[in-house]
Amino acid sequence: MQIGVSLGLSVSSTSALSRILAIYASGAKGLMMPDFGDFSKLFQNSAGTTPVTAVDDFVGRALDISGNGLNLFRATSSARPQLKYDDGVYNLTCDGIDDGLGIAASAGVFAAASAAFALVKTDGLIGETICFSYAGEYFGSFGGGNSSAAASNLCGSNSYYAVNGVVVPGGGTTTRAQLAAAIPVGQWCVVEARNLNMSAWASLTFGYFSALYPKPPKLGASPIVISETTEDNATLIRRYLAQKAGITL
Amino acid sequence: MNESIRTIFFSAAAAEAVREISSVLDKDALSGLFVTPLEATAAPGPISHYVSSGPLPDWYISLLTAPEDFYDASKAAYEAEGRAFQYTLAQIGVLLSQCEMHDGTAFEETPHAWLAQRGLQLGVGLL
Repeated sequence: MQIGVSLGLSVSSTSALSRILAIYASGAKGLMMPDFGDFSKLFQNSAGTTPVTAVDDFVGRALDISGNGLNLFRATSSARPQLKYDDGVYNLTCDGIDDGLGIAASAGVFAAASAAFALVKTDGLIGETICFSYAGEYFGSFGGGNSSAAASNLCGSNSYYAVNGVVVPGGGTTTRAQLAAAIPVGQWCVVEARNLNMSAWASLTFGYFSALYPKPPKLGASPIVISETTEDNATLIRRYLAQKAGITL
Repeated sequence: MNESIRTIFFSAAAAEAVREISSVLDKDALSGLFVTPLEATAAPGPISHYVSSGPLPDWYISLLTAPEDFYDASKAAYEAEGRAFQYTLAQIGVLLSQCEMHDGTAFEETPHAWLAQRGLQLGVGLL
């Protein structure tokens, strides 16, 4: 199955990936998770010795394809997310108890001005959720009716969210309710967070954060964290992820 | 390594010891277990239990239901590290008696549903 997926990439998708990787090659910080349909980049164990071979396998290691070596892993056996296939998109699904994947690095691996792009799908929120976190900091937090910030105070004043390329109201103080209102339930969508100050982030975790945020969304395609970039590059990344879910932007 | 999906919780009183022993049994795969807090649905607030859910090694699952085997394996693991194992078989029996385990198959929803059946919900002890 994974071979078919890899070979099934369209020329334009392959070209877009090459162009995105070129941004990293030119010095951009951050990471790019593999397309979760590319099983050659996924492993069941954190040591990376047992490859993922099928949907429903648990994922203990996902290789960073950016060239920056920020591979994601989870050693704890029970806390690995599961590879799923949903509505045409391979994705990581967490159980909402303890699952997650993360990197262990040091401060400086992310830029002071970073942008994050992720293809996500929520099947209906149980309270709130958080997409990415580090030591109590976070971004991509959303939940109906909550007026708290959708990202922690590491966000710069010129930061903002966009969903499928449409800017979410609120700018640098977008609330969780505003972000939740912009994210369609039951549909894949590209969520981006721009101008994040991640200079202090020494790691990054996707998945379980705390009991107040019980069920992270499904994470599909190739989530990206990259030094804040040009609008042309942002459009390239956004469309690359959207194409994975058949979304036309 | 063969694995099976389980949802397992221990009482808060037992969880710390089981967490520590498990991390010696396998410092990678079994480190970080039982860190997600639970509270009673009817009386939220105090953390009553800690839970893990997902694939676990079959040998470990078997140990949790066999105090003597758990004791022997744990003692051997500690001694392999040059450490004394400070629990008696009776104490291990008490620890494991505070464990409840669910054979989850419908992975995504079963842990929460089962916990709800047990009168428990995710707690906020880590906040």
